[in-house]
Amino acid sequence: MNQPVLELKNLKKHFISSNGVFSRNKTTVKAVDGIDMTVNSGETVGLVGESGCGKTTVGRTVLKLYEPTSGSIIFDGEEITNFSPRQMKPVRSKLQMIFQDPYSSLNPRHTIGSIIASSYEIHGIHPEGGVKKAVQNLLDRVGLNPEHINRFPHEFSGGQRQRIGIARALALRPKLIIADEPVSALDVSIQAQVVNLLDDLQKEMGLSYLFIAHDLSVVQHISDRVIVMYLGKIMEEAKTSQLFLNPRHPYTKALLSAVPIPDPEIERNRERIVLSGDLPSPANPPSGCVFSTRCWKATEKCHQIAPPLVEISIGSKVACHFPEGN
Amino acid sequence: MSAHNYLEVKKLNVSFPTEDGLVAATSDLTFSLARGETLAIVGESGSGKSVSSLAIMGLHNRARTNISGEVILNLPTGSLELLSSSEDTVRDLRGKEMAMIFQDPMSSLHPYFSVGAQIAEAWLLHNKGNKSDGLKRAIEMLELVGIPLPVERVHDFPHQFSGGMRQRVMIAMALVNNPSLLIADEPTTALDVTVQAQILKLLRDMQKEFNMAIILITHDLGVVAEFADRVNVMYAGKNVEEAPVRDLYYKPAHPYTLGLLRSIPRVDQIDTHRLQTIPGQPPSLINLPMGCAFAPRCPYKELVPNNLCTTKNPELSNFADNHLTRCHLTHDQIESVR
Repeated sequence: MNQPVLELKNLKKHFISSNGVFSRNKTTVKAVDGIDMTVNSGETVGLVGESGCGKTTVGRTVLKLYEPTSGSIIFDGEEITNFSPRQMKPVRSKLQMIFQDPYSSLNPRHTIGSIIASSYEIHGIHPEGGVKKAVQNLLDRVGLNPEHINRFPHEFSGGQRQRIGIARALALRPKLIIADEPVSALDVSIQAQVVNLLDDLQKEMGLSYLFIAHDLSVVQHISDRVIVMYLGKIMEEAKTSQLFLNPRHPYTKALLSAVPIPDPEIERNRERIVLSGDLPSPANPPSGCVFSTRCWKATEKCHQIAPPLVEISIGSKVACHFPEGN
Repeated sequence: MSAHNYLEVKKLNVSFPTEDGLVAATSDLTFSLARGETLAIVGESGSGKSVSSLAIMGLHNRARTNISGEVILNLPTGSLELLSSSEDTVRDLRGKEMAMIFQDPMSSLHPYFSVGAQIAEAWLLHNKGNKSDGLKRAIEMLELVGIPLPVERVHDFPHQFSGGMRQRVMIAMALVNNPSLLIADEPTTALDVTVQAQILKLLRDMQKEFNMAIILITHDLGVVAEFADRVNVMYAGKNVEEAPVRDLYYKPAHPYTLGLLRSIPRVDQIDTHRLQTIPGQPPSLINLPMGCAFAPRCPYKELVPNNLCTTKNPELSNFADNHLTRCHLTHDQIESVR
């Protein structure tokens, strides 16, 4: 359980955009600005935050769909930070991704059989019993009819398409799956089905997940550990129960209090922290603590000195000068 | 229902003829709403919640849509049935008596015009005045919905606002003529939770200020718990349950509602067991099955004798005071499975 599959050390991804063709000024957007994290074998780590916090960029940088600016990515004991695309190819068979939108992530002109089989083709793998058999087994495993192998994506509903995406990710028996908002496009009753499927597959195949999502209730259910990001930095990291029941960072606390609870009595009687304003632009983050502009506890110190992410109890890290609770 | 109702919808049917057959998007929808009250319409995609609200607003193309039933507005000047009224009459009411905000504020605002011009246009359509009066009114509205520096920002374009601020602009535009009915179609779905909390608070403040009736269309049962007075649950084009918000959460009477409430994880409870699910998927709205549309997914249909669930469509009936459900199960059976 405690062997790391993925380790990120001081990972940074900065995007540089110019302000027009003739302008010499360049803007640097620090989408991911120095984060450390680990995903252990068989574990699900939830990565949460508001849009623009850099959570998707983390996922894509790990897959090396983006070149990291600095820092290191260690996958399965191997440093892959500077791997070329050719070197990455065998790594990707163990490192797969599930996307948010089941409509745009499947090629509409290919049958679902050939979509899933392409994983084998690309990596030159000949599964036992033949490709067709393997694909049908996968379809069966994710709860689809194996006889539908020759159908096209448009013949399936959103939830079924997401199952196809999961089957594709599973084809090469990966160690780690990066799931970027895998259920947020699905209806409530279908969401629960897909979450349960992910749970079952993890138990059966010993998968690890990096589960990127903005929906905190789903993250609560599926994750063993949760990491909260804000403007490219980690604000808090803790075991799920600890983070949800005893949040230490003011941002985590505000975020949790903003999620409506489907229970009218509790919902209407609880204390809510309404943060003022919007997320600042990541091109021009505040000095000091990035959350200081929206934090109700911020002092002069917060505006000047960025608090480091420190361990305050076992397995619980927080980046705040004045953490909440105890 | 009481005489104080502002809006009454009776037996509303909306269907679209398509190449594959008639799509029965909404059937037999009945509800009413008073001023100052919030009714949430909950349902999954394709359950007919948006289609119904567009029908109330008179926004369907009448030539390509089959609409029947009644939509009655009880105005101070008397009652008016909208479906049989002329398009001009409805157009005159739209924006003045009833207004609507949508999920995606970027695509509902015109990118080429300043937000001030767009709000002013909505005002000038129903009021006498010149452009500068309109702009003055726009500034007042922007201030009311909590946009900082309204005097300067009134000249900004939609892309210069964040998602939450754009939704505020949409709300300002919808409320500029002081409507009595606001239909909010997934108003916070595209927003982050912290911004969602701000927008819901704003809507609540505006409701108090204008004594509006609000129809909140959403799929988020958390938002409903926070915001609604009454809830209408829709499945496959029909309202399967209607109840005051507390009754719906604590005494749900329809198996679909029950299934929904059980399948959602919560942030205030740590659960490690499997989520309960509703097996299967919603039916296609073309050629709906005989009987109850939820029957193929319903775990309790065996409790009803004579395969009634798969042969006869249940009627909306009283489960308790102010609590309606569309189900063949008896009162006691529902209580026992709950």
